[in-house]
Amino acid sequence: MRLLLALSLTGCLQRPYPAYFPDDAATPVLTGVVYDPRTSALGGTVATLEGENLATTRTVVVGGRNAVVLESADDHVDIELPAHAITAEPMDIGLVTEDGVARLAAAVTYEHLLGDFVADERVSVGLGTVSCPIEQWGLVDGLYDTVLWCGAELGYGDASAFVGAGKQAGQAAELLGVGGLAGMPPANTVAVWGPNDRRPPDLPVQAAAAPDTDAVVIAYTPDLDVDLTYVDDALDTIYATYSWAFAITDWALVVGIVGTDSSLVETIDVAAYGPDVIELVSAAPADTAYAQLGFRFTESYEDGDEETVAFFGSVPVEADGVELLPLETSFALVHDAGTGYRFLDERLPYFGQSNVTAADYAVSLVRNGETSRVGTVTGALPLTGLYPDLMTGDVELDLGRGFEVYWDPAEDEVDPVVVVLELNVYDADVKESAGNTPLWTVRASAYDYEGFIGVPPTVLAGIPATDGTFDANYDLTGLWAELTVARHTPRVLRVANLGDAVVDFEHAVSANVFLVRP
Amino acid sequence: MMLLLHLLACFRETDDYPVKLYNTGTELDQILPPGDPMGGQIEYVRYSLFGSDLGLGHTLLFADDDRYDGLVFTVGFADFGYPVASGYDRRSSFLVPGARDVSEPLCVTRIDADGYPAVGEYVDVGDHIALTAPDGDVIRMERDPSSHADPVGASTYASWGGVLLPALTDHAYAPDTWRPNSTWALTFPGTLAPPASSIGSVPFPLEGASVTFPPPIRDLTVDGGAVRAPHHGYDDDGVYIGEDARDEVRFDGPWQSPMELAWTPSQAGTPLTVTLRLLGGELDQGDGSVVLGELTCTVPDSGSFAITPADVEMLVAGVDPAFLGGAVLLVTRMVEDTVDVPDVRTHNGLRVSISPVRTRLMDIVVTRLERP
Repeated sequence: MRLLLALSLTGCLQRPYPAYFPDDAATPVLTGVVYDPRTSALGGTVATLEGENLATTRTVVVGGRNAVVLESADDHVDIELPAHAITAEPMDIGLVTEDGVARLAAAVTYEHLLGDFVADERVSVGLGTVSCPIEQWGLVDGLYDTVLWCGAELGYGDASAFVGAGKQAGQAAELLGVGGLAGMPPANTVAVWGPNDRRPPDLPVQAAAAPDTDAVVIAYTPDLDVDLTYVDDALDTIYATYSWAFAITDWALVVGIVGTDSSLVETIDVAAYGPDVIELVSAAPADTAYAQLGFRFTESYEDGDEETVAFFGSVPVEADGVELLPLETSFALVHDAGTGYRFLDERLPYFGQSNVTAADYAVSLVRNGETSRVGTVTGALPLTGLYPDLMTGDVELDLGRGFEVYWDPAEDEVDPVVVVLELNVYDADVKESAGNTPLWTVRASAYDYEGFIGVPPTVLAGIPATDGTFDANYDLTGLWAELTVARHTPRVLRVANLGDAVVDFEHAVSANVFLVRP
Repeated sequence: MMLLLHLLACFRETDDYPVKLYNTGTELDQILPPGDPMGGQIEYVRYSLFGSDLGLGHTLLFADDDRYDGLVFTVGFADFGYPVASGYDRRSSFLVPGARDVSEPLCVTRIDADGYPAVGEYVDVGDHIALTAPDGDVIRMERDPSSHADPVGASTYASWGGVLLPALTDHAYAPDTWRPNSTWALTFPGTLAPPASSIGSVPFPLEGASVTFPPPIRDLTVDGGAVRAPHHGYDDDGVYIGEDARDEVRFDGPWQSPMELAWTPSQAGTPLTVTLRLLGGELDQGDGSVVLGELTCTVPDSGSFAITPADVEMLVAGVDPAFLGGAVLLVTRMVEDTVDVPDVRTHNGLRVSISPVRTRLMDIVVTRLERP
């Protein structure tokens, strides 16, 4: 009993933590905020907080990110809104003065380029293609020459998905990892960041816990006429841009024959094709499971021939002699426990550009081993008519005059389709794996129907001309610039008891460019 | 009995090396005063991966799958919590410091990696921590998470940094990310955590604080061989000779005979921290992030230091050879200091001091050793 009393007294003698602001007399109060509702993820606009006892304001946070306090008086504080990843929900404001704290709940909402379209995004799917030139031009010892860049494939296709623990506005548009929308300025404006400037934050994500069986499954019926026309057009691009095209003496569209074990068995030339059939020059093995669609060409030189084969996608087929008949194509984006993202499984032997088309894609969710169909979305055509033509690998932009990028708007404008531009200036001698942050970044956006984006010379004033050089080993060296133009065509489906599934069809075209200042 | 043991020690055979005194114990607390209670750490490091088969795992922050021989980069990490703990003084997210203020080399041996200090509540100090040079160059360590999680209440943790930056000094356009011997301002903006969050916050900005970059490690050699970046695929003149051409930079280690380190002393006489790590894991030559044991020596800036087989005897004996994958040597110059920060406002509005906070800037050279 005495011990118990002694212990109790000991506890009483220990001081608890004191209140941080013990005097309530001058506690600040927030009553409202006035701001531009068109504020984008870049922040930067001035907002006025209204209230009482605000004269000694030291700290203001909006959605947890620090605002710059510009001016404070007893009844108001002017702040510069911080850059912020777009959230689906309005953000709270927190304020600290010398005498206390104040909060204003659900006070500020930033506007996403896609507007309310992504407000309820919970399932995010990205299907995209990246196009890049076969070669890159540059200077070696003062002479103009080329290095192999993206090769004959002229890019790649990819698909991934993300299902979050909560809403994640705009996540689908980030999944390709190139030409994303987060951090883009409002439509028809241009933003520039220099070497010492702070870039806007990435979209935060919270992965939903998911068993290994969870996946997003996508299925579509391929139109081989569309797919092989894509391949044919790619070959035309080779002829138009490849510096060694004059040496091509033989070419053909081809099919890579893939067996049931997913191994590439042989390559056979295509004799003819239509929407529902490919006719080969010779019979395919009876156990052909997939057809990888591509082309081959032969370059002839004095010291011998060089053959190139490039593939652009694959479809499951049934072989009947010289004919290949397409089957419904499907692929799954399977949950990866390490990252929380969902990546392509190995259902298709080669997922490429021709797997992302304007076809109708049926989307299903697999949860806890059970598959439920969500709906069907229509894909998108690739970006065409792009000027300047980045696929040449030798585009020059005049910093003194500014530049404009044009494209052919898509005919289908049912949903908000946006086109974005990003120019990054970087030092090729700074090794990328160490986090090669661009020195300058220029971003701009427009709606697809507008057909162009302009970047005025005033924005480019502080950017130097690039070197555009290779070293003696034909590695990039010195200052280079990379220009990416990307079109996002988002589609939305309602998922019962969950929210919206946003499927973003993106086509990005990316290439190094020369920045000159005559 | 004690006299007999002392007499036996007198007759222990030693090799003839420059006189040094060292103590090899299992914990610094056994041979030195205990660490001071502190409320957080702000660390910033330059790594030079000057050896063969080295990856990002040696930072203890990243996976080690890919090899980045020759890479030089910087990375920072910071976190804060209360109640204050001596762990923030003694531990590091990157490389555990040894003894301080030594006049002679002093080594300790640790078997198994140490954990992080346990905190009752993490503390948020704002969406970034900045190091700002007198000429305006800025290094920012961004907060993770960039904004507090929705749904609120999931905010239980905040840290800063963890992102690689290129190590740049005197670049034509980019700001410096490493500037030896210079003193930069250290700031953070302060913040207010969401009301339902269980995280504390420092509501006011940090002002008037600074950190100092250590002197560089110059002309480091091991057993007479230069510790340098490998140039795989290229000859000594920088001409590409094929991707299979290897330029090995690795050293035998002190397992059979003494390993001699030499370097150019700094003007400031800043001591070196020399660390031998035995690595485990599944990767060939060990995973840099799986530290089975390490010997940490604090060495005066004399320009030379030898590690003998006797020095590593306890380390080798303490590691199960069945798990041993490889070994590395880290040579570090370290500048440690403390900074007082504004008091924390707890999630329920109370005031707690977390001062001082440990600051630590390190220049670390990593090279490969043969395994014992």
